Amino acid sequence: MNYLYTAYAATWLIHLTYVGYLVRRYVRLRKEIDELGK
Amino acid sequence: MKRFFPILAILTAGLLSFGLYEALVVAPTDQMQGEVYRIIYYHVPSAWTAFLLFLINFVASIVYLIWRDMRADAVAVVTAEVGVVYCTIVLVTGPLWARPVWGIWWTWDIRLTSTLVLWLIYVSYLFLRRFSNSGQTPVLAAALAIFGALDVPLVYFSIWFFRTQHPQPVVGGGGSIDPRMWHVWLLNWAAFLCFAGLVCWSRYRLEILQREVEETQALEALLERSPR
Amino acid sequence: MITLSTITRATLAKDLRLEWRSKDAINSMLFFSLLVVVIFSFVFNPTAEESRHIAGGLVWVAFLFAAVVALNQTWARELRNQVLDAYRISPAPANALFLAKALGNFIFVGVLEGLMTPLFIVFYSLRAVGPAYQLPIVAALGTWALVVNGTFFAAMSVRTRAREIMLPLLLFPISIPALTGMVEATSAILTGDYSAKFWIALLVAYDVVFTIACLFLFETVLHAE
Repeated sequence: MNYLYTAYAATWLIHLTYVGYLVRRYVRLRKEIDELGK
Repeated sequence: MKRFFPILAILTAGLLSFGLYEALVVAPTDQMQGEVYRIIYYHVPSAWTAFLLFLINFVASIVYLIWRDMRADAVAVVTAEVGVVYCTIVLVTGPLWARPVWGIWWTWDIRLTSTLVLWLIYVSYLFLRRFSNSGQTPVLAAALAIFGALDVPLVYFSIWFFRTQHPQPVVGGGGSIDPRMWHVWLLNWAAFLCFAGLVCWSRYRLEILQREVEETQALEALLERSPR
Repeated sequence: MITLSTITRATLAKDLRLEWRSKDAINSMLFFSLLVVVIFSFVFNPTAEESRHIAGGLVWVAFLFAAVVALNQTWARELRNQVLDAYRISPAPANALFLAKALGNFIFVGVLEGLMTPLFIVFYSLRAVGPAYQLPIVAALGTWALVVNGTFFAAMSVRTRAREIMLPLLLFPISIPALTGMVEATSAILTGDYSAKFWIALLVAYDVVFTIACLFLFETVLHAE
């Protein structure tokens, strides 16, 4: 039974890690854009 | 186009939640495997999504090589990345399913093995994209994608024959599927497709934005250096 | 008129001559191969009966590592002297260059294999129970499979940042079916337990598919920039 929940949790963990990575890249890009704007 | 995003996001959240509910509560318990079999409601749709994304990557790579459209290249990198994410999920949930049901974490089962090789090929694709100089990256990556696609049938045959000569435990579910399970499968697949769509869209916009920023930075560097 | 074969022959002859004169690469490669064989012998110490089953895998992994070291050097010399740029500008067909490099590597790695094989036979007391005449066929097909893709990926890697590690990163996943074929065919011949014919057919298919793919795409990759 633990395997089931682990599997579902792992799935979402991986998805959210990737989304988090995208968000971080976006934040960094925004900063660069602001730098350029100056 | 932009207004679609929130609508799609809400739809996706709904589908995913409903899919989860159906998978855990509504779908009937398997006679032989018990509750653990429910992993397939995440494992199989993730596999189908990953294969679809890699197929799109293959098409985008060909489109790029023929027409040299940078948007095709952006689609290629996006689908490769998101495809690897889904493929990783397949490779993680697979053993988590195999262990309680068949007592082994891994076996050279044809589906697991060919998924592993596909994952390896696309991870190497991502490495190539990261380490090559930006001028060449689209062409080199597209060439690699084509090689990868050509390899897939050969991988499949080699594993199939290997298993014929060295019989291995069979991991993939045999037997007939309860029809009630089908619609939970499809529901979760639809949910994950929508989710993949959202993520790909975001990643695509990020990629386009990144390229614009880099172009601007390059231009600025040029202008700064030119003599006044 | 400059034909494909003229350029191929000329380039191949030049590469072989350079190698023969300097013996730089071949000496280090030879010693590397010897070291690999010895280490494998220390690490995997099977009985004569067992060794027939695993020798196929051992031998081909050793050849694979030796091939990677050889392949990494393929384009390094060209890069040093800006030969690649000269090729891009010249009207010579890019395939001629590729074929010359691939054949040169094939000969080179083949020589290495020829020198490593007796060592393996000695260290593992190898003897073929099955049809031994098939072994050179498997060796040739397998080596070409590694070399053709290896030369292509080496050309792609040579202008990337992590040049030396990039080649194996790209080559290994794509080569998995060919490696399976080589190892299985060799094991089949050594143990005599089953027929190597399917694996030989697979290797032929692999070689044909990827030779065509490499010839088709090399020009594109050479001009990428």
